[in-house]
Amino acid sequence: MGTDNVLRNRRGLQLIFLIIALMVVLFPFYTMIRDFFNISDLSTVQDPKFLRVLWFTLYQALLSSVAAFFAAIVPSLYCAKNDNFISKLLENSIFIPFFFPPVSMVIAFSVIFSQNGILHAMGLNVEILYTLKAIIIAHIFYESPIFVKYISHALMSINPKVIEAAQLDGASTIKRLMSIDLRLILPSLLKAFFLVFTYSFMSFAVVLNLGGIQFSTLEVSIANALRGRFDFSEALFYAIFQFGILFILNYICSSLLKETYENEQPQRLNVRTSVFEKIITVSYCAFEYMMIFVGLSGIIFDWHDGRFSLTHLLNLFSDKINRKYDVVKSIVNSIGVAAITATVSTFLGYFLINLKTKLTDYVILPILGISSAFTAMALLYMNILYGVPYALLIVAGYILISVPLAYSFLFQNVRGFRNELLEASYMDGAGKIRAFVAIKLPILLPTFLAVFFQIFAVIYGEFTISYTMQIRDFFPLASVVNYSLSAHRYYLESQAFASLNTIIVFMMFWLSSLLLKERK
Amino acid sequence: MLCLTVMSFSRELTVYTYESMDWIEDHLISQFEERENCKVKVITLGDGGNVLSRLILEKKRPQADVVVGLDQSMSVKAIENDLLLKFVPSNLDNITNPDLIFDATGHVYPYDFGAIAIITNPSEMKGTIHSFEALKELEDALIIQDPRSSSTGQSFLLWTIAIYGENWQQFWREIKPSILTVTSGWSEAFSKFEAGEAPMMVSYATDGAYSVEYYGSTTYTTLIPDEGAYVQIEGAGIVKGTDDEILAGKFIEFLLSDEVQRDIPLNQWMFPVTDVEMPESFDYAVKPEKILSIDASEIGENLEKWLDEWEQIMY
Repeated sequence: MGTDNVLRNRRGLQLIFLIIALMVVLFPFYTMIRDFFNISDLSTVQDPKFLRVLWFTLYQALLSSVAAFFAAIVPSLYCAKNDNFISKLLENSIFIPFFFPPVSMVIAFSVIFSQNGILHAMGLNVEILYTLKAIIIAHIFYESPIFVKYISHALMSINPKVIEAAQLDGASTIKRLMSIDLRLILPSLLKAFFLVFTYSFMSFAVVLNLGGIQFSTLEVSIANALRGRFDFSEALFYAIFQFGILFILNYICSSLLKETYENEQPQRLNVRTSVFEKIITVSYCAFEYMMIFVGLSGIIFDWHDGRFSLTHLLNLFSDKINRKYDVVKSIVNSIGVAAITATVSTFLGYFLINLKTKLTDYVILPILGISSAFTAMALLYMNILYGVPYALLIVAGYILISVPLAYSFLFQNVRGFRNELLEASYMDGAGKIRAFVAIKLPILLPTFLAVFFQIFAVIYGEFTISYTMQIRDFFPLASVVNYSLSAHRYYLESQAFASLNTIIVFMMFWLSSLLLKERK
Repeated sequence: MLCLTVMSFSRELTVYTYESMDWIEDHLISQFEERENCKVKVITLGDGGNVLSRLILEKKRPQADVVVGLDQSMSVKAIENDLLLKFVPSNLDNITNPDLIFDATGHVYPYDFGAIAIITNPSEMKGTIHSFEALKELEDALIIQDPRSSSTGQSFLLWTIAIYGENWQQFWREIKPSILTVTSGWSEAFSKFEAGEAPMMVSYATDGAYSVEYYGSTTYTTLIPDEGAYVQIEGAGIVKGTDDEILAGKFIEFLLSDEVQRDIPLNQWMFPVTDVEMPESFDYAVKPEKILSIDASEIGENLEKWLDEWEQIMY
């Protein structure tokens, strides 16, 4: 009875904490709505222009998600079955959706697909730029690695005994696939689908740079309303509507998910890989990594003139450029902000998962649906009204967008942790902290480190919030300084800087994998 | 001594402007600080849209004293939102062409201007064009900026309205196939143009001067079609709520002084509004012969409608 009361009180405290945290998060948005939202703008919902944008946003997001899913099926199977160089490439491609900078992606598309591009020079007249095809292909490039990671991990987590039992019962391959494999990987599939759909739904840089005006999404409309029409009320309407849709979608996905966690240590499937799977997977890897190669090559290669040169990279560290653009300072700031955000978000993600309430599932993931441009304006407004320092605001904004990621990445491993191990240590007289440090932390450390580096990568390259807040003069960050270089016609320096930033994140991934290897 | 230093900078002025105006910090600001015994904080905020957006956000608690970089349509928006104070600079007569004073209400004063033009890459073009009408014959050849997010794009739209009047929508319907893409801003358009994605883009008539100054030759040709030129004028104003209206006014006058105006051509790549000596490279800037304009009040009354109609056509 006493233990029940303690648990109930603890749960109550946790819920109070969650509610207070939510209120703190919502306060900046509340002030924006209070001061700028005009209730008559609700009638926008009947505006044909709005309906057109909404329809296209949903259409392209659904099309992109389905296309990314189909592109990822065979590579996921390959990854689940093999442990070799190709499967490592597939596993590491997960950094693409979260970090690979849009500026490098746009360069890669231009170099490959434009009228002066590589394909055109090879005699292939592929005219996809500024069409829906370009948007879908870019979304496949960006988001299919999410499906590859989630599906392959889920497949590797299926208990082989279940498969064996089905085979002994005489189930055909198709029947087994439909009634066992698909059912077991469905939770991961739904989570991946929600993430991919959300990213496509909120797509900004891809739609703006590779599409065209006829392909505006809600996020593009928010930016236009904020920076072009200066109609904050209209922007708020779009942002609230966008959040509402993603909230409902997440609610549906979360309701469909049963509380199943993968307890098994993932292991490769002992099934032969066909030649067809090999060809498809190698082609997929070539597509993903060709984009990265072309995007990164800008550090030493000028695709326009076809020349190698280190000048632009070296220029980045020159006094002349740093006096005006703070390149070095922005790298230091970005590393600092990314490290703080990644640490706090990983901790918060772990804490929220341990609350073990369905409420967190319904509340945390939809945060991904909050418009970045709108978040930036709300944070800026906190500086204007209450003088909250920019550095604090930017970190707060970054934590807001990265907690859902930490929550999502940590979920399976933390909820699926075998608590019998901890209970055994309690019985041996270990305290909670000691048990955590001696048992849980060492087991979960690889997961914590992986999540830390993934969030580090996301935040290091974040652009929309930092650009919309326009705090370059107060707190320069790498992505915004990079944009400034481009705006001041330092195009090649800007390309070199974008590539350098990607390499910095690659280095972090490499270091983390070295650390993990040593631990093993 | 410390006390004296603090006292000597007791007057502070905050200036909001867009990023490419940051050159004024190089040496001009220190001259103003010395002359007026004050401290000037220049805050650069992306492009003109970002600057106006920040002013609207700060309406309840203004943080800036002066805003620099509002063009004709943005000025209308700023005045509509009651963000600026009226003021008359004592050196207003320095402005050589009174037509450049586009705001008759006395809130915004011009400090530079430049004609919008179409720049072309001769190596990628077959033949030359001289009119907007000829543009319609080309396919996927022109990169333009979105008038909803870019001041250059907005000026281009106004240019076509100035030429075609009520028939401007018909022109846009006909020119649509000639447009390769619509970018969010000038920089994005220029990087696509430089990459050779299209042989033409909407830019400024001073691009030739820039090429000569930096590359020693005019790589691209600048075209102002026979129909006439549209001039984008940029202005500055005093932000309502400033703590030091007099010092803010002095700054506007400083912008109209020879010291600043002399530096406009080679830094801003626009024409100064006063009579100062021009650099040689500006011989390569196209000087418009026939200037078209639209009244600021007409822009104020119709811009939203025009943007909606444009969007309708372009979808």
